[in-house]
Amino acid sequence: MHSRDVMAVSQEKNGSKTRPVGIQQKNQRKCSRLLSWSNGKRMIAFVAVLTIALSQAACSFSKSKLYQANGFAMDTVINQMVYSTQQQKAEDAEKKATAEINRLDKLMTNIGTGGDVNAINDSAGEKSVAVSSDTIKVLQRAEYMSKLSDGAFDITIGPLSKAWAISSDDPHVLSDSQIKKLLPLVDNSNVVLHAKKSLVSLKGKNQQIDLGGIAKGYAGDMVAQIYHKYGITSACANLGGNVVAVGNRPDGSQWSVGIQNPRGDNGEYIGYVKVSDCAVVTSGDYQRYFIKNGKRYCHILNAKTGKPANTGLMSVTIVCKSSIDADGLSTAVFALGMDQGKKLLKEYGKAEAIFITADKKIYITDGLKSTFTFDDESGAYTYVKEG
Amino acid sequence: MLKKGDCAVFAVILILIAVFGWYKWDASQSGGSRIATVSQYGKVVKTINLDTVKTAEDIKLPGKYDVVIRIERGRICFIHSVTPQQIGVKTGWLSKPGDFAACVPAQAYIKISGISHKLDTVAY
Repeated sequence: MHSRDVMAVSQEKNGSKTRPVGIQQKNQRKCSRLLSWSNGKRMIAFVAVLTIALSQAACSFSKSKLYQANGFAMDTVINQMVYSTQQQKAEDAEKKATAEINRLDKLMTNIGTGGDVNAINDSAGEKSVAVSSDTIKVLQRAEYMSKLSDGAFDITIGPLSKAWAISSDDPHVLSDSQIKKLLPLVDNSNVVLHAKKSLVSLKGKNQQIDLGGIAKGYAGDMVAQIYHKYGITSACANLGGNVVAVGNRPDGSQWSVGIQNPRGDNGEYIGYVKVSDCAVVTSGDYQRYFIKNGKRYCHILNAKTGKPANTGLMSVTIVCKSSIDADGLSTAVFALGMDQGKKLLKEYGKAEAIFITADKKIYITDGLKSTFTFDDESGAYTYVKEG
Repeated sequence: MLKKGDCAVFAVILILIAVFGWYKWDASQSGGSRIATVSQYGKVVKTINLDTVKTAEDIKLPGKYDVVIRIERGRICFIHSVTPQQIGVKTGWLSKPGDFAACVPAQAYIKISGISHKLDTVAY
């Protein structure tokens, strides 16, 4: 009760002087008006406090400012969206992440000169090479992926990927005899790691490592680590199609990651997944490819056949916590096809997938049923709900 | 009990807050005009307000890839390049806040400021 109300009532109770009835009634009316006004004021105060609280809550979304950066590395385009209440912190995190991507690019490229991978390739069949701990980690994970996929994923695909030159200005269709000649060089068991000494060697002369199917994934994990280190709780990086989502959007909702329409314009999607703290990585036959005599040759080679993968898939998207694993898995599953790919994912156990088949049908694994939304702008695809 | 006057005051306050909140939110989302930025080799080549373009214009970027960007009222795109994969050209017209296209060999990109309302990014 308001103190003025208390005072008014106590004066009535303890009033030492006897007041005439008319005055008492007048006072009662005055008192009730006071009560009415005080209730109203309390209501005003309540609404004001509520409004301020709500507007503060609403403003907390807008307090997180977006810092965006775009650049080029790892032979692709890198987009970063970093949200923070402190602009400087977001900027520092992005700059550190960009520097890290560039550092890893130099270490793991097999184009030009310099870096760990070029050093390993240049010394193939001759000697061990001292490499960074990052390269060791990627090679260890590549070895795991190779075993998991029974050799469909193999980083020693280098001699064949260079011979096909699918992403270059001058791609070639290799003859069966050319493939037969190069295929013996593809053998992940010839990558010898001495993790404690940080030494790597390739047993066979002319063998070559190509980390194109896994290095961006590792870079994605490192970018996420940097964001966490800088206290960033809301960020999304896209490393040439490999998406790494950190936390949630600043409003607390999950990130919406579109799945590219394999035959549409870049950015045209067939649906999207909602994710938090997750990697979303797609491998497909549409970004890097060439067509000769009406036949499409994509850049993902089946390491067992030495030929561009042609297993009835236009794309596969992997959703899992680890970006490096998502990258390796997407390459392996694309090379294997949907049925074998599903078995591989089951064995891996912690990843979900969206398959888009050559006949424009979309299949998803069970774990994505609540997070995938089919939203095909082109109207050309059919979403096949199983089970 | 509240009087009519009190209710009116509350209503006015709430309407003002709602209008102001909407205005602030809308401004933060759309950023007003559609501003496209063309960058190459890490530097801004041109910034264009797409809503005020009066006549179509082509910008030729330096380098061996013969990259040409076309600007029209409300939209912009990579119209030509001699790159092997044609990824920038295949992106088509950009017209919405957050739209982005890149030509990796020429180290060039076009971005319309703002963020997409529906999707944060696309895995490809």
